[in-house]
Order: sequence, then C-alpha cells, then structure tokens
Amino acid sequence: MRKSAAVKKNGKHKILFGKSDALILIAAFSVAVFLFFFYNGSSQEPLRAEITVNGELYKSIYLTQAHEETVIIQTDPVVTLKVSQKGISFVNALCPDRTCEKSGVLNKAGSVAVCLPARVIVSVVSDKSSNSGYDAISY
Amino acid sequence: MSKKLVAAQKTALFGILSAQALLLSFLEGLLPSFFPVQGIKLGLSNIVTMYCVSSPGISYALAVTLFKAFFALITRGAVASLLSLSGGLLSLLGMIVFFRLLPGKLGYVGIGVICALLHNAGQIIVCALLMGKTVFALSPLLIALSVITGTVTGIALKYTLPLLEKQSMRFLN
Repeated sequence: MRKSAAVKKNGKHKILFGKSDALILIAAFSVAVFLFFFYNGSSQEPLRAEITVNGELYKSIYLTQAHEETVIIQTDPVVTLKVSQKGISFVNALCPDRTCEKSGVLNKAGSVAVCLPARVIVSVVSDKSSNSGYDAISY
Repeated sequence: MSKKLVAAQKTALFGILSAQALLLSFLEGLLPSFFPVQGIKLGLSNIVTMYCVSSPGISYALAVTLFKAFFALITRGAVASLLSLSGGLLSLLGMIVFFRLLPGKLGYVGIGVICALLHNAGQIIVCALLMGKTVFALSPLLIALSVITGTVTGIALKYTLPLLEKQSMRFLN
C-alpha cells in the first residue's frame, strides 16, 4: 500500500513542462544567441588563429594568406597543429582520448578547440573583435 | 528493524544508484556523437542524481556525485575528475534549489535544463581557471546544447522516476 502511494505521489507531484520551463528555455537560447554574436563579431575582417598554452598566448597566425604551416607544441602530451588556407586543425595529440582531433578544421571567427590534457586552446578570432596589436604576431 | 540493517540497506541503494550513474555515462559514450562538437554528452547520469535529490535524499545525490568524480580520477585522471566534480556539485546545487527549496516551481524539463547549464558552467569555469579565459568562447554553444540535453534528461527523468522509486522501495522497506 505504502509503495504504490509513494510512486503515485512522485509521478503526479511534478509537471513535465510548464510556462516557467518555457521561459527558461527561451531565456537560455537568447543568452546563447547574444553570446554567439558577442564572440563572433564581424567575420569580414581577416581571421587569425590564436594558440594559447597554459593560459598564455603561444602563437598567432593569420589564416587568410596562402600560408601552410605545421605547429608542434612541446607540451605533455605533444600537440601538432596544421595551418592551411582552409583553417587550423589539430592533427594529432599524443594522448589517449583525442577529443581535439574530432573538432576538425576551425575556420570561422569564434570557433574554439581545446586539448585539455596539454592545456592548449586554439581559437579563431576576427581581428576587429580583439584589440591585440601587431606586436603579438609572429610567423 | 535494527539500525545496522538500515545502514546496510542504505549502502546497498547507494551502490546500485552509483552503478547506474556510471553505466549511463558509459552507455552514452558508446552512442555516436549527435553534436558537431568535441566531447559534448547528453548527461544521462544526471537522471540518477536528480532522482536522488527528488526522492531518497540529498545525501545519496552527494555520495553519487563524489563517487563519479572518484571514478573519473582513477580512470581518466585528475583533470577529468575535477571537471566531473565541479560540474556535478554545481548542478547538484540547482537540483536542491528546485526540488527541495522551491518545489513545484519548475517542471522536469526546466530542472533538467538548469542542471545541464550549471553542470557546463562548473566545467567551463574550471577549464578557464586551468587554461585561460579563451574557453569562454565555447559558452554560446554549450548553453544552446544544454537546452537540448537538459530537455532530454528532464523527459527521461519523468518517465524513469516511478521505476527508480520502485527500485528504492525494494531496498528501503
């Protein structure tokens, strides 16, 4: 008797989807859209890939030029990145899970790929949205 | 019923719930990734912790969350464990607020979405502390995906809750 009462009470107690739930969904989506435009800025400007290691800028590479480059970062595990006109991608990371390789080629402003074990972040930014000067750029 | 017997029953229930949480994360890891981004998961094991908070007690939810972080530590290392813990504890906070402090304000979908958002927030904050604030650029995507994954877990909770309740009754009565 007690069993079925408890089951019934919990089954009935809460609704699946109500007005307040709809509000939460809408609010979350609006914040997502707002942040998306905030991070993407104007993508007409030349795109630049920023490689961050351990929270510090490691290298910054323009993606618009016909420029191919392989960047090997001596972190633990070692991370290899490939830069081409199409964008920047993780080629391989010498770690077991290799999630970063699945993120493919990054070629839009605002896209980010992260290699957690090596603490490497690759992000594509459009120049207008960031205010770092030319002195931070190296080839 | 003796005190010892009750303690044994509680431990057994904790064991089975933890096993279910781990199994759910393992199974969803086998699914092909629905999402175009690295490492995004549905968070099905949240069903177990949400159930714990809503019915047998917050202590079970805390124990399951800590156990999951411990399991991540021994199988995937310190960083994974820290991410599991930060996300787990923050979303636990959300569950306590909406299941216990403000019951009936939100439906299962709303609670699922809030918990998914908080889980991701906890993880991205730890990521930012470890690697710098560039990772926040991932937040629009994570928020949008939390809405989807939270809705899925919320619906799943609604329909598995009676079954989980039945299971608990087996242990606690």
